This record gives sequence, structure tokens and C-alpha cells, in this order.
Amino acid sequence: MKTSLLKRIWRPFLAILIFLGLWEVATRLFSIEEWLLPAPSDIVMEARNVIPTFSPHLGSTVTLSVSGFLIGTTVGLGVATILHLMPRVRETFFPFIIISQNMPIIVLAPLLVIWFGFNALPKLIIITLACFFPIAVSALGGFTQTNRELVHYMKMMGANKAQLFWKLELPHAVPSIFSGLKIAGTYSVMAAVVSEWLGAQKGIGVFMTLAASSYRTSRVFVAIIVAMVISLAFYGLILLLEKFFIRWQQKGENA
Amino acid sequence: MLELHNVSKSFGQKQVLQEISLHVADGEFVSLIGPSGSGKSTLFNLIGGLLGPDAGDIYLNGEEITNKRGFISYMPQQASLFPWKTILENVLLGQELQGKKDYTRAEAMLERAGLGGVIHAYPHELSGGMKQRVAFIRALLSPQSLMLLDEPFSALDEFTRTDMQKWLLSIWEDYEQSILFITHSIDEALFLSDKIIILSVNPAEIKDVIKVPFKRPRDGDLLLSEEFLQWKKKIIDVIQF
Ligand SMILES: Nc1ncnc2c1ncn2[C@@H]1O[C@H](COP(=O)(O)OP(=O)(O)OP(=O)(O)O)[C@@H](O)[C@H]1O
Ligand SMILES: [Mg+2]
Repeated sequence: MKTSLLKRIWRPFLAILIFLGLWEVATRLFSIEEWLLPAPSDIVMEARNVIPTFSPHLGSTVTLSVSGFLIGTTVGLGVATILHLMPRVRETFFPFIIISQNMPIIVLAPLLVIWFGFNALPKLIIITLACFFPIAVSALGGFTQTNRELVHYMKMMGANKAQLFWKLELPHAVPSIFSGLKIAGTYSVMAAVVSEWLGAQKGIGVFMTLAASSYRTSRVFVAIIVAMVISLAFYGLILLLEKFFIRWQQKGENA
Repeated sequence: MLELHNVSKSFGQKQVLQEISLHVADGEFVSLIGPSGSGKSTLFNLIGGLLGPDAGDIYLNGEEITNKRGFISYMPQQASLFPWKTILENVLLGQELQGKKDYTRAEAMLERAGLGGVIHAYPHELSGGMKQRVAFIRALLSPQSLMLLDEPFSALDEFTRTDMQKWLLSIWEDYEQSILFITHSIDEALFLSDKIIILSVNPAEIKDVIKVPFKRPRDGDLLLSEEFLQWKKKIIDVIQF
């Protein structure tokens, strides 16, 4: 187990090391200015300096993205369930969901600021919207793709609509819902950072805009790396939950 | 127990079943044989209440169940086990839908059926034959007194199939449930049933009902006996006529 993990990751790891090395050498060789492209070593130094004062920003962004993610997940699952159980409602609204899924939510941000000001609410709305669509669509897909033979079996056995949903369709959609959750988890961090650009007291987005406006490019990189790490941590957490929830699943096929 | 009175069903212009009347007694094993597309599964959907007949009524234990669901237990051709449930949870599904789960009885039954080793396994860990066994136990554990089995063994290979038939009899003979069983195999129908109903096609009508005289418990030797072959010939004659 351990060795196989090592075996799998040494190549990408080596690639990253080489990439960083080349980057370091290139910035020195061509004496590129730090404000334009800092060397990896500059970024590490900068990180050492700012990380101790970073926790309020980190906390704020994490809280924001987790809250938005949770609200978005709840609303997404709720809406998917309603649309699934009420075919008429689905026929009416599903096209809009698909269309709005393909719309960059961020463009709504200025409008939301006009309506709700610079507090947390417009930010939460943006994150919620960003998380809502992948979850609603994946859950709905999972519900409707339920194995027909299992549905037929349940109906023959006299299952009512509620039993069909809770005992078959919902558990059947779990793997599909998780693929939505993974996308939403990454979106939530991105949406949180971007929404902080609009104006906030704290947050990685704020830190980033401040650093950028004073050309402290190393700091911008630090912020980018932190955002990436949060995003990856989210992803890993969801992956862990997924492993726990669908431990029954065989690789490849099921049923 | 189960009675169908002049049940007819069409899909659009196409009449599938015409005035089917049949009877399954308490504890009886009845097989339905007929060509592919004759409407056997449709008949099951009618009895299960998934479809309504165009004409005719269906009674179970004297109570009308036309268009009503939940009165029968069912085993389909594909095992249709829930992949996220263990074998134990799977066999309890019929009980779960009707109310109370009896774990002790289910465990005892799985032990008896030779499935004691896989009680906590998941369906994907089982072979096709084992899955069908689980599906049969699931149907048997459901509280309903009539079981509908739609070609339960047709996806299995010949060896597994004969084993399964013997196994099914060995388990079922201790229970009171009645069985209505769809099959394409005359051997299977003869070996398992008390009564065989032969259907025609386009639309399906009952061609003949044959009482099978073999005594129970039955064993594999029966399949090779002279008497068995004679009955088989008789059924082939009915089908070809
Ligand atoms: N829901 C439906 N709508 C329209 N036609 C149907 C429907 N269900 C079944 N049929 C038709 O009814 C006929 C009988 O189908 P059915 O599945 O009952 O046959 P069967 O005897 O079970 O066949 P097989 O032995 O192949 O399983 C077929 O011609 C089929 O196309
Ligand atoms: Mg059929």
C-alpha cells in the first residue's frame, strides 16, 4: 500500500521539483524583477514572513466558503429532490437550471453588491449559487438514472413513492451527488476568494488585492498557494467522505 | 389463493392477453410457459398492480387486488440486489417495505440456504448463482404469501441452473408460500411445479393446464426417468399443436 503510493507519486513529484528548479534558475539567469515574477525561494521567504499574520484572513475565507458550500449543498439537494418528485415542476424549470449552469455566476457580483452592500450576504449568495448548480444537476442526474430493474422490483413489491425515493433513488444517487460535491467544493473556495475582491475587511481575496496593488508579487503568490491548499484540502475531505459512504462500490460496475 | 377471472390487456392496438383465467392454490407451485413476447411478464405486472387490466379481475385470498400493489412478493430475472446493502440487509428488503425487520430469522434462513458465509458481504462479491439464491431468499422472507418468479434462472449456465432448481425445492418445500413461476424451459417447469399453464401467443390465451403427477420431495433422478420424458413429450405436443 505505502510503496504503491510512493510509486505513483514520485514521478509527478519529481516533475514539480524540476519545474521549480527551472523557475528558480530562470529568474536568476535572466535577472527577472521580483515584482514581475518572484523566484520560488522569494515566495518561500515571503510566506515565512506573512503566514504568522495570515490566520484571520485564512479563517475568514474558510468560514465563508464552508458556509456557502453547506448552504449551496442543502439548497441544491432540496431543489433536485423537488424537481425529481414533481415532474411538472421539473419540465418547467430544468431548462433554466441548465442554462444558468453555463452562466458565470461571478458576473452577478456587482449587482448583488448594489442590492445587499459589502457585508457577508452577497458573498454567501455568490458561493451558494456557484455550489448549487453542480450539486442540483448531479443529484437530479443520479435520481433519474436509477437502475430500472431495481425500480421495477420495488414497484412490484409494493413500495410507495416515498419508499422508492428514500430506499432506492437517494442511495442510488450518492456516487453521482459526490461527483457534484467535489466540483462544488472547489468552486466554493474560488467563489469565496473572488467575492472578497469586491470588498471585505479580511480574507485571502482582500490580502491578494492589497498585495497586488502594491506590487508585492511574492505575496500574491503566497495567497494563491494558500487558496490552492484550501481547495485541495476540501477536495480531500470530500474524497474521504465519499470513500466512507460508498465503500460498497466495486471498481467499474455495480448492481 | 390467487384467482384471475377473464383478464385481458392490450397495449394500443395490440392485444397481448385475452381472457386469461387461472388459479393458484395455497402452497401450490404453478409454472407459466409460453413463447417469448406472449405476455407472461405483462401478466405479472397485472398481478403486481403495476398495470391495470382492460377487463377482468384479480383476487388474492378472496380479496380483490386488481390495480393494487403490495400483495405479492417478486423475484425478477436479474437478481436486482441493492449494491449498497449487505446480503443480510438485502434479504430483509421485502420486510422493510412492509414494516418490521426480523434479523434473527433472516440470518437463520441464510445459514440454512448455504449463504451463512456471505451474510455481511456486498452483492458484487457474489457469483451470479449466489445472487439469485439471495434474491429467492429475499422473496421468501417477504411477508406476502404468493411469490411471482419471472424466469429467475434463465441467466444462469446449465450446471448452476440444475443446482439452483434442486436447491430451490429443498428450501421451498419447508414453507407455505405459493409460487407462480415463469420459465422457457419445459424441464424446469416439470421438475419444479405441481401445475403447468401453457400460453399461446398473439394474443396469449391459455392453451392447456397440465397437472404434474410427480411426488415430493423430488430429486435429480427424476429428470432422467422414463416418466419424466413422457410428460415432456406430452407438453411439447401441446405447444406444437
Ligand atoms: N408497457 C408496454 N407498452 C407497450 N407494449 C408492451 C409493454 N409491455 C409489454 N409490451 C408488449 O407486450 C408483449 C408481451 O410482452 P411481455 O414482456 O409480457 O412478454 P413475455 O412473455 O414476458 O416475453 P419474454 O418471454 O421474452 O420475457 C410484447 O409484444 C411487448 O412488446
Ligand atoms: Mg418476460
